Amino acid sequence: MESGKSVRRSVGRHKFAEARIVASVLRRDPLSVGSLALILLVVFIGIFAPLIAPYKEDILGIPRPGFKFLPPSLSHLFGTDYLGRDVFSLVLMGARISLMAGLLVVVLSLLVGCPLGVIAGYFRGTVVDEAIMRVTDIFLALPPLLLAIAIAATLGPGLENAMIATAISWWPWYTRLMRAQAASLRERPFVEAARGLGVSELAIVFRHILPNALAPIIVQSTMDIGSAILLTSALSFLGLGAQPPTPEWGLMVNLGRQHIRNYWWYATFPGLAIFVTVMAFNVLGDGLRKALDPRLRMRRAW
Amino acid sequence: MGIHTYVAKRIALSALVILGTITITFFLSRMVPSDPAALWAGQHPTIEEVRKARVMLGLDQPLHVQYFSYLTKLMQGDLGVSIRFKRSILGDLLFYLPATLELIIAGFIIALAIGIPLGVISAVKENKIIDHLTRTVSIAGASIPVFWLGIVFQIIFFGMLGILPLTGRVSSEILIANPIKRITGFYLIDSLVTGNWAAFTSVLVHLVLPAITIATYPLGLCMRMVRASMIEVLRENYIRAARASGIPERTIIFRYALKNAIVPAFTAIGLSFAYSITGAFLVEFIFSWGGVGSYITYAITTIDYPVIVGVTIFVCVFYVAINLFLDIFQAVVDPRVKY
Repeated sequence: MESGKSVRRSVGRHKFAEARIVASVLRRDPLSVGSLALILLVVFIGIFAPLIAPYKEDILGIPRPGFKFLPPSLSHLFGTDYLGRDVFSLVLMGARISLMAGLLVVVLSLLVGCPLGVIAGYFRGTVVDEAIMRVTDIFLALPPLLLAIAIAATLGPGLENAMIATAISWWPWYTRLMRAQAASLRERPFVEAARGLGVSELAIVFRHILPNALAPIIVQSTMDIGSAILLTSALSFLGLGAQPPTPEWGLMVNLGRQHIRNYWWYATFPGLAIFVTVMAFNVLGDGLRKALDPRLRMRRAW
Repeated sequence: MGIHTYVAKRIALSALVILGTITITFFLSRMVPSDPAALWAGQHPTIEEVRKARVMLGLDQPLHVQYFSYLTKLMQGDLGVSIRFKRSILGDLLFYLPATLELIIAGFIIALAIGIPLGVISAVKENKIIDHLTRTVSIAGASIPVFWLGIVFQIIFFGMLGILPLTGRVSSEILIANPIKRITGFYLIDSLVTGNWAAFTSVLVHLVLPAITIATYPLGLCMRMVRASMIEVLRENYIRAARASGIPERTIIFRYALKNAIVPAFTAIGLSFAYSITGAFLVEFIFSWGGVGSYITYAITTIDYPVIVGVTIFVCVFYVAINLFLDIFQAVVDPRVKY
């Protein structure tokens, strides 16, 4: 099977190219390496938060009345909150919540956006393509925070609903990216070969084009986790996302806001955690994007 | 494609976006778990009151009838009525809009005043330390949660230094002694034209922190776009020719290069201005600004759903209109634009 072999080879080369670009960016840019290390650190914290948090019981939201609003010290690095909980422990736990939220938003958006994009790209120029792309135009023409607020307000407050709301305003980005990928892949010899072998269109789209188009989009979308974290935390800040006593960063900033006259630390540290995490994703993304596609701009949550 | 076809196409697309948003929000609003009629009837309503409210709000009609009557009302500029205040939403929005515009225009001026020079410097010193620094600053501008930045400013400039006010558009003591006559709704303009200096100073002082907070994102973007477009222009032959003929570098950069570089950057910068209206939701919430942002965030906390939908549609129209204007402006001004 000559054609089968060439299919495999072209697929292999494609995936390898992505990995090589990422590696070469990391080799040249110390800033990207630093931010990758930071992301890995946040992921580590997110996974092991309940084990490394100095005050494990505080994560569960149990108040400690005698410890209300203690300033930062060696025993409480980031001070304590209105319930007497250790803010440092809460921020560590918040890493898990925010990373999960960002990741789920992106995965959900990919699940909706990619199939639609690959269909639009393969059937480029047809009614199907037109219909899908006009719907994405509506979403892409609006600031994501605007739709997310309206949707989250409908669904009712809650972290899951905030994530769904974010994903609904997010997926069209991937439809557009995927469409461009699919439209170029459909002209490739391996697709033609599959067509020549009598593979059905549906199988070509989902078994041959989709897997090959996925690599660059996954690289892109990983970097979007930062912006997704920013957007969901903004919803939580507005009261549409996580509810107390969840140690969600955006929510903690809002709760701390009411006490900034006397207790500056409570709002400061959770917000700093959002900033540092999102910044790490964006710096790495900026480096990679420059290498992958210089025309792509950085995503913004509002 | 001629420019007329292009403009017609852009207008059609804008209309589609607005119609799409209206449709999405309409069907969303009919999915709300809480019964709008019950909310309308107030606390502890009788069944009869709820039924009356339902008929009055047209909620007893079939869905498609509701949808078309909703569209007709929107065409007439009727965004509905707030459940909480029982007032026209459009009226409220127009009342709050000047405050928001004052804030985002001030922020935008700050962004341009700092962003353009930094972008130019960054391009001239490409890949030098200062360039890396501005790149980092511009990414930071897109990564920083504005709602947190505003709070940090409050902690530093109000809490620790005590030199700037915490919230509001003007100090209430000054307002009692020197009330601002509402002419345009822009406090700066109103107090200026009536010669109300005490109020003018107070408004200006109140504007500092919110405006800087809201400026961070457009600032970073402006820097980035100006830099990218300047780098391209500086490589052009006419710049080399200008250098060869001994024109001072400063003149080359600001007179010859920047003028051409600013046009392609214009759309993205303009868009960042439109974007800052959703940024204003968060900034106004922190600074109790009393604009469109405060209006919608208050509606969120009181579950005033018609207001949330109304503001969404209003901001959508605002955003799409700016977008449309920028695209057409660009096409008219810059003959290089391909459409």
